[in-house]
Amino acid sequence: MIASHQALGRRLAALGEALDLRAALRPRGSVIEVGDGVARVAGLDGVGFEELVAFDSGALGLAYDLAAQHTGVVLLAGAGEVRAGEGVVATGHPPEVPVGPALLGRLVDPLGRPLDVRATPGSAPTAAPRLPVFRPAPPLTARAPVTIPLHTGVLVVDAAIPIGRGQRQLLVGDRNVGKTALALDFIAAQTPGDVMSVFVVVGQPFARALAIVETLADVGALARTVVVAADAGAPPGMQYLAPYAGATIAESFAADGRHVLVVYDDLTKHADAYRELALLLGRPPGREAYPGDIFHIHAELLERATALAAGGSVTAIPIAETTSSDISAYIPTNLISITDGQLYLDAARFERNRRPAVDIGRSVSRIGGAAQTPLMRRAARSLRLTMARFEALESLTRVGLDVDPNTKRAVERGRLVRELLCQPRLQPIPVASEILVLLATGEGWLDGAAPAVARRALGEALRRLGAEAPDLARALVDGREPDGAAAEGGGWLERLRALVAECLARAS
Amino acid sequence: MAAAAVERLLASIGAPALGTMLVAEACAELALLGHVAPGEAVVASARPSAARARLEAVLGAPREWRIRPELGAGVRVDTARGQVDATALGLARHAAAAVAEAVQAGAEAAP
Repeated sequence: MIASHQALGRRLAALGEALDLRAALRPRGSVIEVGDGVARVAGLDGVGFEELVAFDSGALGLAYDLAAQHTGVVLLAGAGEVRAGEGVVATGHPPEVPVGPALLGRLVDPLGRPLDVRATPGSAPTAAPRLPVFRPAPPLTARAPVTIPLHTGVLVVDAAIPIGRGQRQLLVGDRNVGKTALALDFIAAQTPGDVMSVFVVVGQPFARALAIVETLADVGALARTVVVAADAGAPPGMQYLAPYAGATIAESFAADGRHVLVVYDDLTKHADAYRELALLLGRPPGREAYPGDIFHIHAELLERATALAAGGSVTAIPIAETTSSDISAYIPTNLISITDGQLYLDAARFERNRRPAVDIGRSVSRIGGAAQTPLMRRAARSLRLTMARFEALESLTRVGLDVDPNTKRAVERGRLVRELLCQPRLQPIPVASEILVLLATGEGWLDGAAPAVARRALGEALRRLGAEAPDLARALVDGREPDGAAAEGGGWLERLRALVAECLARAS
Repeated sequence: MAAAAVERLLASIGAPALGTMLVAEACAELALLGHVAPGEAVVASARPSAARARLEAVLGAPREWRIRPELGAGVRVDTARGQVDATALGLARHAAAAVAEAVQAGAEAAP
């Protein structure tokens, strides 16, 4: 009997050793109070800033406010389970997210846990390698200038407000003017192609996240996209974390030399979640009650988007929502000053069914022509001027004033261009087609034609180009002016003009 | 599953002996934690503890003593400086976490 007790004692001692049970007895943190997505914890003396902490209930939190008497913890997963008096331990590491190809095609939360119910062959995302959610931006020496165009398939964007790989381009506009739809158009244009995508959903209804996944699946882009979602029902801590998790996932692909497009939809709601956390943690409120470091947290996030000298890039498309078209509100102006340009979506255009409702006059790309191919740059050079002139003159013709022939021509051409810039959702236009449209309108080859006729003629011209002038077709795809043999026979531009004129005559 | 197994194992040893051992461990950890003001601590135990006097020698009279059968054995003490959880439930939970961590490490190491 004594021998069996001794044997049991030895086995228990070995078990305790193996599981390090003594660690369970050591002093640890204890929840003093909890509510609204944050907890105050006593006894977490050695915890670091932004270190992950684990609660007895299985909930996770982020040590965020390191005061002398307590630690303010931002609750992440399982926030509803945390109770006062519960034990808390510091995990010793920052929050991490799984990265790599296992995430492609998945809808995950900011900690990488699957939110989709789809059974996926291969490894589960939680078993993938993990990287910290908060990472420093690449140093200056690791960055490269933005020179490679990111083809968005949206004519007005590629022509007038071009985006380069590694650029940060803000999408700004009122509620329901097609910001998310335009971002999805950008992602749809990357299939087929060499650009992967990450779509971050912050503070939106979960049904919207599911709709985004469905849309991406319908256009065949989901297999090359990761969707990270912290919906409106998620704790504010998860909403705060989501864009950083998306940035980490994007960076992991870029580190392998790939090009990545990451959409943050949207940073206004992200700022709201951060404001909520800051106020609950007792931080002093600043302008519009946002904490003083609201600019810093967005700059820190967007600085992580860049072209890398070693190859690969992260292109960021943050989205910001305005109220009553007030582009000078706090968060939009912050984001405008951080990013390399903005695409402004105008509610009035949207209501008139001119979609995408991009306002060329109020949109800008600070990278500009550097992110366009030479032929695209040439083809699009007069577009902004044409549209600006048209918008100034259109009001004259509306009131029925007699105008001189030049003005009349400018208005008619502007009207045609405006129609041709309208584009259905999720139907990206190939580069060759974009260049042909821009050349044809810019050079005046389509003057006087009705929009429907012009569209038919351009479609026909593009089809014939492949068969009758493959050298020209190749040049349009490559975005470079043809030279040598291609320039023979009266010049490539003259050959193109003749072809368009012939197609126009047939289409009429 | 690991938590339940450890919990069953600890229960089979005999709760009174285990409880005494865990209270002793709690007292040692509380002594390391530093001075706890009388009336500051909140103690929870699985049953009215015979080791109450021993614990009060370290803590002074606790603010509150709660009976929580789900703790299995031992005591959990909350102070302003943190918590000492010397309970069967705490040990079982720790064991479960250790096993889960080992399983995950194994999965990540696998090709």
